[in-house]
Amino acid sequence: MTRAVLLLAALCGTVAMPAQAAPGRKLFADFERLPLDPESPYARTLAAHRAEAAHRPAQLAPSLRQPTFLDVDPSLGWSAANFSALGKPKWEIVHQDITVDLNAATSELKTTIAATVRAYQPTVALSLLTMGASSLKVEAKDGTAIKVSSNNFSGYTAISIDLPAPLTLETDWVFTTNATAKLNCSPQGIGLLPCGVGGTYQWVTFHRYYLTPSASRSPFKSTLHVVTGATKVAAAPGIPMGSDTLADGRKVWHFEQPERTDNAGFAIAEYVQATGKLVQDKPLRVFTTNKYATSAKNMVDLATKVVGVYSTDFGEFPWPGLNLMQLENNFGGGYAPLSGIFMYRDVYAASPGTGYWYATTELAAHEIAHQWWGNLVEPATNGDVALSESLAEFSSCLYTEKYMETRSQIIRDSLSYLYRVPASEDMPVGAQGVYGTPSYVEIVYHKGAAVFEMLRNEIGTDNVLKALKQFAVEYNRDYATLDNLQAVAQNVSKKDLSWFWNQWFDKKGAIEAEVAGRLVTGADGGYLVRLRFHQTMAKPFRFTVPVTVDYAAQKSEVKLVEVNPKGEATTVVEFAVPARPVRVRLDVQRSVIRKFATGTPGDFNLSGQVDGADLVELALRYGRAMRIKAKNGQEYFFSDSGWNELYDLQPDRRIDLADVDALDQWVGAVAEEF
Amino acid sequence: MTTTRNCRVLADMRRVAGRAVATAVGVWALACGDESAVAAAKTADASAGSEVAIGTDASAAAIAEPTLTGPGHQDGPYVELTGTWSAESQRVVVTVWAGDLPNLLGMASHLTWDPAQLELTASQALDLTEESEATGFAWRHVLKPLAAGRLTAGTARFRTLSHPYAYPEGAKVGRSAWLKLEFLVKSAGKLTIAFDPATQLARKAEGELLPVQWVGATVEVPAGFAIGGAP
Ligand SMILES: [Zn+2]
Repeated sequence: MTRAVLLLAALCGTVAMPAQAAPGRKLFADFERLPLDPESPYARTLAAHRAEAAHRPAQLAPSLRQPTFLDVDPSLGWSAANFSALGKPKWEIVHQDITVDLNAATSELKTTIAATVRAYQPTVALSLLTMGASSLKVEAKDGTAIKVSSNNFSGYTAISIDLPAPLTLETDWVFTTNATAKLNCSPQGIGLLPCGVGGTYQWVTFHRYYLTPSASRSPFKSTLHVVTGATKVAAAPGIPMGSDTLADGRKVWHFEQPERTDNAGFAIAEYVQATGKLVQDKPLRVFTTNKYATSAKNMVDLATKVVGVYSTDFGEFPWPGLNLMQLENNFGGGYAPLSGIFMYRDVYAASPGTGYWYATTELAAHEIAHQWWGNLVEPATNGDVALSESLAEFSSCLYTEKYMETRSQIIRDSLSYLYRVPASEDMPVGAQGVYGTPSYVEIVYHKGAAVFEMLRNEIGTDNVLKALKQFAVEYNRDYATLDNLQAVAQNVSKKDLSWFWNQWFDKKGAIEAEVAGRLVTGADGGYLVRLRFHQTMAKPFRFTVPVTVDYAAQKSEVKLVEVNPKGEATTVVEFAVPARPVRVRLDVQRSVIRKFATGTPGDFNLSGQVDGADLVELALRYGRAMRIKAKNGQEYFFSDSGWNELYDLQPDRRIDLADVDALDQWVGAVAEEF
Repeated sequence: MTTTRNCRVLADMRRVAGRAVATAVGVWALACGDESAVAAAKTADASAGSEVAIGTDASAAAIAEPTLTGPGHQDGPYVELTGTWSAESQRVVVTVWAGDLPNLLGMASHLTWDPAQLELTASQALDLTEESEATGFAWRHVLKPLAAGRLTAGTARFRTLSHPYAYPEGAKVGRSAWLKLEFLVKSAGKLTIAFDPATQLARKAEGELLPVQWVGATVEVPAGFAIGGAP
């Protein structure tokens, strides 16, 4: 007899031992920040979101941060209120007539702004912000020069106007400001103005670009006049009102913005227009250079469809029309002020059926969603930015799930947070200072979207949509907080969601749980699936997880299982099943922000015993990876929407032969009694 | 069963072991002194259908040795047993065959029998198709007694490299030996070696269940048969 046979004989006489989770067994791979695979869809998404996020000046390092209205004059701050009745501030700007004349050769922007100001309380001093002005002249309606003093803050100028006499209350006063600014552009606005003065496109986008007394508190109606060369065309949000030719042959293009907003921007190129009709026959205009005139029709179709879907889901498209503008590629992403969207060049070249169409759809659907989230309903504070970015991204994910028939976007978003944010950079989605973390995009855009995705498990997709629609109606043209949305969602679902809001918006982190399964026989002789969730973090998460139970002959059902640990580390849940399951799977659609590991190591099918069937399950997940090795040996982060860490038994963010090998030692193990 | 046949089986095992892909707990351990038989060995696939169940062997009943009979399979994917009595090793030697499987990613089941009558003394899982570095795939196996009279067997096809774009791929299995089992006879009588219905599983690469006939077999140990004995 050989030694091997002796070994087998010894095993034959042994009844398999329960799987006592090995002490110190590593459940999940350590955090490691690898460079991004530049070719991956995730890298493209992240770049687009970062580019958009860069339009928020609070992304800047604190030393570069743009002063806000409150920095200039805290006494002028007022709390959120309806645009129609902004809580009667001391004074406000109700309209601006803006003329911009951009000299691309010298990067000089001349701006003339006639601001209509209305005072509600005696006012003798006005504090305003504008772009960095090298020369500044302010005069009253009658042309009288007004004394101003100004302070420059890294590209921006705070203006103080001392009036000889208080403004007459409830009367419109017009002050005209002439300023010349030397632009120092950065396409993605990091530390510099988001603007471009290239040969093909010249543009300035910035949501606090114009003279405004407050960064986020004083939306105003406006008329914009853009001066261009004789052969150029200007595009901007709002209603295009045609152009005039100046005496020197140049042109001036007019845009009326009948809605109150402080988001703005304009672009100049040799644009041509592709047009379409949105719901209610509202005009859609897509501005591209002539080279993209044909493919721009795809964007017309896409935008029309997305606006239609959102109009059904979130309520009627609120603006008179929508203008999409093509910018250079290094713009990187999108930017969506009210009734206008700027996106980088190549998305206007995409056509359906190509891989790039997914990226285009994701971006366009995100930016179009901002017409509701961020413009129609504005976040009241920096801590409510999820109402803009998380909801825009979530809306885009809903769109791609339903109309592109893929959940890869929302899964990638969830994985982005789970695998890209180190504990040191983590912050709650609803934190006031969330702009300040380098992981802002991963937290607000990606985790935030995944949090709303989880709400579908709690109150159902229909209720989520119903709540969003009601929210958009109730807070239309208004500032809102995350708590306002909670109230609406509770009202719609008739469920207390305070725990959900608290856990996911006010606290950081994600679910990490060991999950064990057992099949037990119930009192009536039927089968019960019993699951044990063991969460080791200080405060265990409450969540609802879809559990897929597969039976013979391809029959399957999904159960929504509530895990409510009430502070305990271990939660056991059970449910009856009509037949013996072939396997039990957790969160197949990855709708929960979680990392799961097998509580009975290797029992992937949650049968209660590790056996040959678990090897077959492992084969199905095999090859998925959150890290890949390039030919040159370089390891990259790769977000694989088929990833499921449950199968990463030998945790290294790769489901590979090491996991197959690791399974072998657990074969025969049975779940502990629970 | 002849010595030559045992040698052929051993040769198959060595071929598997040489590719370092088998992860079975037990190893096939029949003795064979003839190395030339190893060199001349054919693959398990090539032997398809050549092994004759003892029950059909006219000479078998005459010498009052244990016999194994299986009912055979219908058209379509199947797993079935054949077996012989090895006078040399004094064991019932069972082969589990898998066949007519299109796009098989993996399969698994528990084999059960009455441990009072048979004791498993060796077991080995085999690759269902020939794989190598060139094909980029390897079969991996799980094979372990869970209790007396219950053996879990599982086999699945893996790429040798993990990569997000390396989706699972199944293999077409014509007829191939999957498991080799060796039992010590402990008492006379009739018993069944069966695949526990609750554990029968075969999947395609897309995850779809593959309907398979899992065909057990009956082992009959004649009353006058000398029980036990070392090989
Ligand atoms: Zn956005």
